[in-house]
Amino acid sequence: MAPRPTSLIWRIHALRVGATIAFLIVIAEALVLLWPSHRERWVQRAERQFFTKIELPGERGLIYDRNGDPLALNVPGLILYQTQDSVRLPEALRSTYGIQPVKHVPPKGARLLAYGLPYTVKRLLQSQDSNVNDGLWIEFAWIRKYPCGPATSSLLGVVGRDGYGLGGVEYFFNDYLTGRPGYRQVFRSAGGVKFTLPDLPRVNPQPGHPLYLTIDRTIQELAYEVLERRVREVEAQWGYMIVTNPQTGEILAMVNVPSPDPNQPGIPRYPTNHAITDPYEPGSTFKVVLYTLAYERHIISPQDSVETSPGWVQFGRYRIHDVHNLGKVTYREALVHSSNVAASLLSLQVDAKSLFEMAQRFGIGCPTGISLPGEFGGKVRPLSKWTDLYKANFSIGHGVLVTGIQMAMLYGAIANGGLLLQPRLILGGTHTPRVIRRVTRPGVLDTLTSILEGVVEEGTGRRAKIPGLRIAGKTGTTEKVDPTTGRYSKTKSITSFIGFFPVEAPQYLIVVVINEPKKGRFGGDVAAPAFREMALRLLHLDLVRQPGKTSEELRDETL
Amino acid sequence: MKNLRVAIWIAVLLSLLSLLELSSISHGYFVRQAAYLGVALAAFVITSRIPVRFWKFWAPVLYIVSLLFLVGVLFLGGTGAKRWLTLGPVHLQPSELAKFSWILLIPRIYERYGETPQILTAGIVTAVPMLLVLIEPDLATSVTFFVMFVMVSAVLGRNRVLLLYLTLVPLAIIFSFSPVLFLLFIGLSVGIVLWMRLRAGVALTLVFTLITVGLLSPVVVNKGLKPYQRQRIVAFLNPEKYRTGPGWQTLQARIALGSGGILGKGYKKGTQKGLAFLPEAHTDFIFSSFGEEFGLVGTLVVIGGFLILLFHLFGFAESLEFRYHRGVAVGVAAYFLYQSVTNLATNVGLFPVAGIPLPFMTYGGSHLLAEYLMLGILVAIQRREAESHLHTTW
Repeated sequence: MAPRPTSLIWRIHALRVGATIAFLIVIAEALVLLWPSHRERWVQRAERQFFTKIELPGERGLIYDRNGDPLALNVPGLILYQTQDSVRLPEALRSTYGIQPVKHVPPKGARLLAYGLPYTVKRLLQSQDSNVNDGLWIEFAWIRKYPCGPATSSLLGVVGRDGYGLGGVEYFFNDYLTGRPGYRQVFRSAGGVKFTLPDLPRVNPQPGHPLYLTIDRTIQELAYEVLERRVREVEAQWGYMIVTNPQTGEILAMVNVPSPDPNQPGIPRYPTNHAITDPYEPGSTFKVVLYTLAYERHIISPQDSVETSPGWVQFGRYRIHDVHNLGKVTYREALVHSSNVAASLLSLQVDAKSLFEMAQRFGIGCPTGISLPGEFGGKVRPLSKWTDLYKANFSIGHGVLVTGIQMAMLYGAIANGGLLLQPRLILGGTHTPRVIRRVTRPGVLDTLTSILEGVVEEGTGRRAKIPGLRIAGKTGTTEKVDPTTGRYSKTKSITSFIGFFPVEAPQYLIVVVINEPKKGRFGGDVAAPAFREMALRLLHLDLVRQPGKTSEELRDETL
Repeated sequence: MKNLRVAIWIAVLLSLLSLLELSSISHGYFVRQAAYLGVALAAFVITSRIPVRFWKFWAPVLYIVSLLFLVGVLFLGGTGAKRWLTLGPVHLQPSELAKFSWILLIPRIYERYGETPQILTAGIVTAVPMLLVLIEPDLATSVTFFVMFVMVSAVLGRNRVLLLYLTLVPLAIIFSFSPVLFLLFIGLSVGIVLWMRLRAGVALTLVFTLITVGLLSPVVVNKGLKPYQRQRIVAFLNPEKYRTGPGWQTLQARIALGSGGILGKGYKKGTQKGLAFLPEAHTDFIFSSFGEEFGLVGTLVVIGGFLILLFHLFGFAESLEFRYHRGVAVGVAAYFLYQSVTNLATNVGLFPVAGIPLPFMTYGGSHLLAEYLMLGILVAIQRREAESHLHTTW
């Protein structure tokens, strides 16, 4: 065999050259990659993917009533997830909280089983044998709780699981209540596992601001109790009650019935605040606008008489009826017994523009600016389209849409001697009431108030009467428009009673609106008793709260 | 024969660097790899004492056995990619045995037969394990056989035209992914053909074949490759776009290397592998993992080590007189060249993720054993050559 086949050596050389070229390419790329000036960029890329921030939610601010009692607070709670198809759920969870495992969980996913479980459930999950946690995942969360439950839910709204307020005060003041989130920097592995070391940066969350409302928790709860029973008694669809201080415009209570219980675990139900968002035709309670104008202009005096026979008045094809034929009455009696005919005839004596402006001065057609979301401003026909019929209708509260809070402020102006105030829900700052405008001269309203007192004494509002207490008030009943026929329904009505007391120096103003009662048709039957009940509760409350007396003294006094 | 001694010391050095990095990754890997290394070194010593003619004689049998293993792995290898054969507590990668036996067998074939039959026989001997490995599927290892075949044939083969086909056709496939490179490559090929003064018909056929193959290869890529293989290629071409998919590994390897700097982050301080961003830090990407902790300096030591190793292996092959010996030496060098360049290029992001182990460094016993067996045989060859100088009558 030939030694050293040298003719083939060049081929090996060629291979070696090829190898060297390949290696030089690799070395060049390695140099570019590892070049010191490039390092920072790569380090940043590495850090971007292994450092991550865990957001620490700031605790939401608490909501207090005017006396510092909490209306909304946070309690530590748990969120329970299922992460596997088959789990062993402790029996207590099934029986006590009605939690049922779901049949299918998406791979690498989780299904929410329960939101806002009490924190003590954690012990329940851990006290069992260790397997019980397989397929279950619990997470800590601050759960918003409302001590007054459904009594406040329509006013306060609720907080969603993402921490945003849904509806009511929680929504309107969300930014103010929401805490500033902090963060914790942690390492994150490629698998998503996060872990921490003691010296990693951490910024603590800032809790949200506390909010003090003008609401009086006791009054709020009383109002809910009273209204809830009344709505049940008359089998109404829904109702609301507003209690304000007419001297300051402060809202002391605002309740809706029915209201969802905001504390139930599960998806929070969105509560409606009808007093703010649902306009209605005010009916006879609106007659005060016309009467104010008439007295202000000296068009009539209370002793003037008007003939209301035969109990209706004809406007072209339409008639405006009274409930009974009252015959010839004074204007005072006409209002006390809520004569539509008298008001319609009176409306013919004023010009449309004055009536329209008087309503505007009372705040009709314009949102009150209360610090709640979704306020409806009301609706009035433009002045150019007013007819005599519309004027008559308008004067008895038909063809005009108002909200409960507007009516509360309107009657507040009557109670306090003519100042239209902005409703106040937030306590603090200046205590002087925010006056929007002076509606009319005080003397004009004194006359009107005395008539409204008569309404309760001897008129349609007799069922609101409390012996020994001077109450001024007005009933209202509106037949609802039947959406199928487009005409006023004979059976469905919205009833209301608005009143304030004591007349000498009004401290409380109560608006009661009850929608579609099945038992009773008129405001005097349906809403006035609720007013009376609430007024009694308020009297008792004031008695109990007399300053400087111990509970023993009070008990002796009452017994 | 200084060449070989240096090569072996470098191999040992690289093995120790591997142990250093593995100990940084996980104590368990370190212990097991140290045991593998002990076994491999023992095998190295034993192999080096066995005469070369023993290997030469038994090479066909070894080859057949390795083929049986390769068939066996297809049936017993479990689900997915069937690359491992489990024999009791030992997991074997039969493809490593196949490479080893192939290196011993091919030069035997080139010793015999005529010009054309020898290269065809060698081609068949290569194609069988290639296909078996391809079915597993393990494209990269399959390509290893092909590359070794081309290199060994380039050195030993006598049919120049066949050699040209063998080398240029695969290159045409590789370069066809870039139109510019492909045009350059075709120009280069024409130059080579002119320089070799081939007959016009032969030359034209060759160039035509190259162009056809080059134009067809995208079709092959789209139709013939497995989806994951295609994905890897696409991801390789655009790692930023496929950040969460197959490009993830390449990107993470580059981040690991790039954030290392000159001296690295230090022993046990690599964050990419520590936080599991760098997958396969102990196997395919041990180089990146090492580079993250030991920086540019450590990186250059490893790359330089492989380059010097290869230089000495080629130098050793050159110095040999017997055709069979030279063939084995070139085969071993080709093995190390392909494995190291492919793996290093993958780590720095120049090549798609192929799953080729880095010789001496990647965690795993099979390839380590095969590599030290190869070195052991080279030592045996060296002794045989030295003997032939003493006794000129053979």
